[in-house]
Amino acid sequence: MAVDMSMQILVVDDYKTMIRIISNLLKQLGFSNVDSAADGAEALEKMRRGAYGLVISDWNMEPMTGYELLTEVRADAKLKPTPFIMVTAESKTENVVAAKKAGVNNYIVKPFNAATLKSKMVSVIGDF
Amino acid sequence: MHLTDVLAAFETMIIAVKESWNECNAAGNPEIQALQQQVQASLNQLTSLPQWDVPRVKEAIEEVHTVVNATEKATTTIMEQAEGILNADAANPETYSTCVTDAVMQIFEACSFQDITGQRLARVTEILGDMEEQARLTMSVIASNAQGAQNENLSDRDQRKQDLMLHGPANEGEGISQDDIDALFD
Repeated sequence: MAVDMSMQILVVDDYKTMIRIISNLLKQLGFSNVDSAADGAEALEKMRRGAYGLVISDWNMEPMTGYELLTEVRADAKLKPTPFIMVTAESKTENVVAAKKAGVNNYIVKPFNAATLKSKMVSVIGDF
Repeated sequence: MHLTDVLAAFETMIIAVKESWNECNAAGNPEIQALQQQVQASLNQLTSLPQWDVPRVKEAIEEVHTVVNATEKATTTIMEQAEGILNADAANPETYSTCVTDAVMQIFEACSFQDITGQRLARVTEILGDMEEQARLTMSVIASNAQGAQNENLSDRDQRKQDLMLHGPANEGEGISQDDIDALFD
């Protein structure tokens, strides 16, 4: 099935610069319908109100981390199928293993480039 | 004076105070003996407090050095890409457009340094905050105002960081690579 290039993507990060970078990279990849949240709690609230085709989230945020957001999403019957990519500076093996166990679809360690973002998105939502 | 100088001076001060105390010879002097007893009483109370963690000072210094290096690297990349745009030949619009787009993408990627350096500096701020709290508690004990004082907030925060695996950016050579992560998802 062809990827819906108009789908809304939610970028979650407590650093505005990173949201801006990822949004610009997504735009270059053809995705211009991008929303953002500054932490897991705000993201969860938006997800419960809206419809997102993909979540790209940082890990280290307060008051709700990306890991906590992931577990909340996977525990919610409506949100559970949402593709979820973690993009984070957390690069210990235990983080990756825990995220995978919690149901993350893919994991990108910062710093990253546009090619890595695209390849992980393709593996999660399909070729575009 | 740079932050690294302040941290290094603080570490030197802690070591010097410990060495001076060990060298003090109060044998036969009643005034100094009385002073020693007062100091010993304070030290006994101080041992009930969370201990000074000198390795964390070294950690903070290392983080600051890493921030400086990362900032320099990012700035160099941004400048090089910007220079590439300025020097590009605009005669061919298609080639020029590709050159500019590629350069701008490199600049976006380089700007991600702000996120990681921000997290590193947040760790340094945390360490300095803890040291400030340690100093406050130490002064309180010496002034006999806070017997048995404990910093509950420090322990709650550290527990949460441990529970949620909040390590922050890894140092060079540590952490798992993107290739190793990809292998876990294959």
